[in-house]
Amino acid sequence: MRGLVVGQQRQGGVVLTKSAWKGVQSLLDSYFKVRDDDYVIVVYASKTLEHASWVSAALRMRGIPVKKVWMIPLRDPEFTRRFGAALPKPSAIRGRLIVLTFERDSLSHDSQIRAELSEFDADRRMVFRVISTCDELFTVALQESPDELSAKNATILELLVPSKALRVTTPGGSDLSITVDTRKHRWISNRGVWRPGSFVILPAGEVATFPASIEGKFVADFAFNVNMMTDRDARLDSHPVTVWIENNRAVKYECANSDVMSFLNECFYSYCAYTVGEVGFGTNGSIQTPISLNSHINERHPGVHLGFGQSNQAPSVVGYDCNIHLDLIAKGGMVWIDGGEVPLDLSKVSKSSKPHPTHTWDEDAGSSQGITDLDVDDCCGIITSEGLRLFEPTAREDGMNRQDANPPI
Amino acid sequence: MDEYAREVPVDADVMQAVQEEVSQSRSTVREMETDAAKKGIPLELQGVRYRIYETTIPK
Repeated sequence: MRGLVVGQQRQGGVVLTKSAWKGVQSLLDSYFKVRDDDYVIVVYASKTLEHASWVSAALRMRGIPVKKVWMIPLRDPEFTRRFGAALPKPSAIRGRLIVLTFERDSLSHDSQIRAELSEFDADRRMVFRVISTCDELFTVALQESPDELSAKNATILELLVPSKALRVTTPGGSDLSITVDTRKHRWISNRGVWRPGSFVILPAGEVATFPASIEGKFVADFAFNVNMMTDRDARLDSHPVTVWIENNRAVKYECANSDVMSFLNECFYSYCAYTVGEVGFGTNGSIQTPISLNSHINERHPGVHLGFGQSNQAPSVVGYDCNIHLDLIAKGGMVWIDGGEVPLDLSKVSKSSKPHPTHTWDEDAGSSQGITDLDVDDCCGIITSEGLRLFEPTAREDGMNRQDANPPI
Repeated sequence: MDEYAREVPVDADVMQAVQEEVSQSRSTVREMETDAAKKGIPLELQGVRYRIYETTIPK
């Protein structure tokens, strides 16, 4: 079953199952910990109206005031006016203001939302931003509570943050040697827990950082997730992608599916997304089967994934920039830490009894700040000592462009 | 995906509340999209849908 028919009446009318309704209740009770004196704003794009309505209806049934605000994703010249008009006066709310946004493909208008909420105390305004809105968000991803995710993320952070060298293998045949440098590269822990001043990005369940170095073979046999609009089937379980990595760059890749190869050619060659910018570990145990939607749901699967292209650090830290971020996701994974004999099994991460560290970053995605029209000339500007040097494509005989004269692939 | 689809319908009172909410939302979307079209505001854009490093520092 493909996720949902977005923005359209489904055959036979609204389809809402008990498992989806359970996901709605989990969102309200486990994620929001909603209270009777809260005030909720539900922002939604046309493609997500049905799922936004599920949540709005659930709130109304509990007697909690809710307003809905429609938006156009990415660029909406009237969003600020529309969103601002829906906000109550801060003094009119006894509890918290909860803003919940639903989009399928994008995360839009971050800066406008922050600006409009600036009058509300940081500890009384909660923002939850949903990307990849579909049925499985509710029937699968939201079934695992943020408390559970937080405890599992804490376990991974306790083990990996102090580490220097990792060996990662997967049942599909990956074997990677990775070094991490915690002094230089930040860790991200997406766990569905709100903290004052930050946005919660949903679906939740991931720990990630930047690999200081990475070598080896990676077999993505679960799915991909790319920050481009695409209707491609994201599942890779029947045709895995194998990538060979040398000196932090993909040097060779293959897939038995010609359509996927074409897609990879586009990402790696046309958009230069060959540098490994992220190593991530999914922690949401409810996600065991990939879905066809290009989505963050697949990325939260308990396994290892590599993000090619745009990194999860500031460009000035890693020395490059790229518009494309292509996550290739493997099913499961074992992580050997600093030569230890007992690996961390990503499919069986225990729950830490200690508090989650506070030095990690919560958000692993944000608005594209106006970058919406993807063009190769915009891609892969290189940060140099003289500032940003824009990518100048070099024509190849096969018609594809290259980032530099000695490309890795 | 089929193993995720547990097509057990919700109770009638829930379904009625949800259907009313969805119906109201559809009406709003139609109205808003029509208004945007009149103003020449595009509803669909292609390209980069999010970035992963532009985040705020949590307090």
